[in-house]
Amino acid sequence: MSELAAFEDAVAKALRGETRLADPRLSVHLNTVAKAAIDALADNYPTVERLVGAEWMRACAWTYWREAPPRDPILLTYGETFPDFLAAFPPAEELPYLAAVARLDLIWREAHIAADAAPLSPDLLAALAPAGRSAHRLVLAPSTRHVWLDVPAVTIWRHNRGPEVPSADLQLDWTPEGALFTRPYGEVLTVPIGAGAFAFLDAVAAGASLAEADAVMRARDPALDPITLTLDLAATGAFSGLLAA
Amino acid sequence: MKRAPTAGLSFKPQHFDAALADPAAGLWFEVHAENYMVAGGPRLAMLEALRHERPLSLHGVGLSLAADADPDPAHLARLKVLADRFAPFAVSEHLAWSAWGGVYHGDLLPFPRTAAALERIVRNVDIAQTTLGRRLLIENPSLYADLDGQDMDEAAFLGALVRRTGCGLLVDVNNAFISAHNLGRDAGAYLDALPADAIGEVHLAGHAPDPELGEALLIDTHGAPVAEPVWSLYRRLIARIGPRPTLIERDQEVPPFATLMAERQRAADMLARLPDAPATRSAPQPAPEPAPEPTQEPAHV
Repeated sequence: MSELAAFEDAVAKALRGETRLADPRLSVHLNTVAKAAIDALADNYPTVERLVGAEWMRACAWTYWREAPPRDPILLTYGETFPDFLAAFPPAEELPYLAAVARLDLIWREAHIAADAAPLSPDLLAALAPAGRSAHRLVLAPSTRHVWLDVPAVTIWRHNRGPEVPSADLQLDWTPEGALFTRPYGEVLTVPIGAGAFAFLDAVAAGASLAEADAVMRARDPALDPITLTLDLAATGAFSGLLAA
Repeated sequence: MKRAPTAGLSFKPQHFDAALADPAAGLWFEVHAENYMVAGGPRLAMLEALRHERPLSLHGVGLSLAADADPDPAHLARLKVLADRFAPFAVSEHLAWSAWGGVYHGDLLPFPRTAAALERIVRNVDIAQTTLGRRLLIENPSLYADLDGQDMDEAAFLGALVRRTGCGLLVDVNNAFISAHNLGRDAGAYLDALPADAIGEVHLAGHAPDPELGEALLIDTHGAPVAEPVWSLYRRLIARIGPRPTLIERDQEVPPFATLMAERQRAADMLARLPDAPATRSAPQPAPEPAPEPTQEPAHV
């Protein structure tokens, strides 16, 4: 190893807490390196921070950073494993919705920075005869994300996401919830969805024809009308294409 | 409104509307390249709109040019995509390292300025410039410690890097002030020793005393107005080298846009007061009489 590499290796190990800095004058960097990662994680998980407070968030982010430092200089994407980390983080045990809220923050950011694409016009779908559903499949827009959570985290997330201070009287049904994120015209939209819509989107994402997706949807929610659902989803900008199946 | 850049500001998304509407001549904006390395969405749309109205510079923090490793080709490719799309008047990086062994450290880390380090950084700057198809400006770091075993001072190191690679320099006057203060050197002499022709951009920023060590150790925070001694050094620098695009760099405790613009105006006024012709290339000109400065303090947060 060259002298330069040996120096950098030693400093990097010290910054990761594996050794002590040979030169204590470099300890300024111990703080700045940790701060950069902690600030980035707090920026990327604003709803988690709102729920737990800045002090708890920074302590938690420090522990996470020791375990999972940034690998990429694009800190906008730092913390992809943070929801899983929270799910197994003992101090978060009293907040059974926290990991799910973190997942929504992560998905929102993914939708925010995904590639641009013009949304599919609902008119194209409206013109499709029911018989055509077995011959066509939908393409999800690059920013479209759908998620199903075991806890009412979508309600909690929406209640704590905005810039305004949330009201204290949130009434929760402790049931699973789903959400659809789209970004048809610039800003990210969040739409609560039911189990049938989630199953339909899952099938579309896997490349199923519309008829196949309809069947999956009906198995989860027989009361849903597939054509109405498809048009409603198209109106959110969830799709960017309609192709031959 | 694409006039030659004079004094500019770090662009903050919360200032988008005000930034787009401001009529100041020569106003330009700088962004951290890594904050725009995304596939799409409102961030890029905002930068597109801003670039339509104003000159732009891309300031990278992730190439890790002083690491004893080739620059990450994937990261370099992302930087090239941005530089090709937004046609910035400058693309800059740092004389520092930040990535090692697959971990990104999120800081600009020092290294001993040895002859071997120079060889490595020459190679890395060459790779980056060849891939990007353009000249990079390399920024002088803020230093907190004098490392053992160094072969050359920083001005000589940067001068050699310029000669060997054809790169330019981004002179951060605040970094020069901090390093000189922390290491017991003369910031003015340091700035005087940098090759004038190579300097393509200047940064001005604020600093703060270390929370534990106090004034003995100044930290490059980008979280305060530019300090008076830094303004003095800046006046001395541009008197020698002539006008250069100059950035008021602010990343922490970001004040309202108007506050930053007031600070930016001070730099713009100093640039406007320079004689039309920049200093000749052969010999430094005697510094002109310092022009009277505005009497008010720079705006505080």
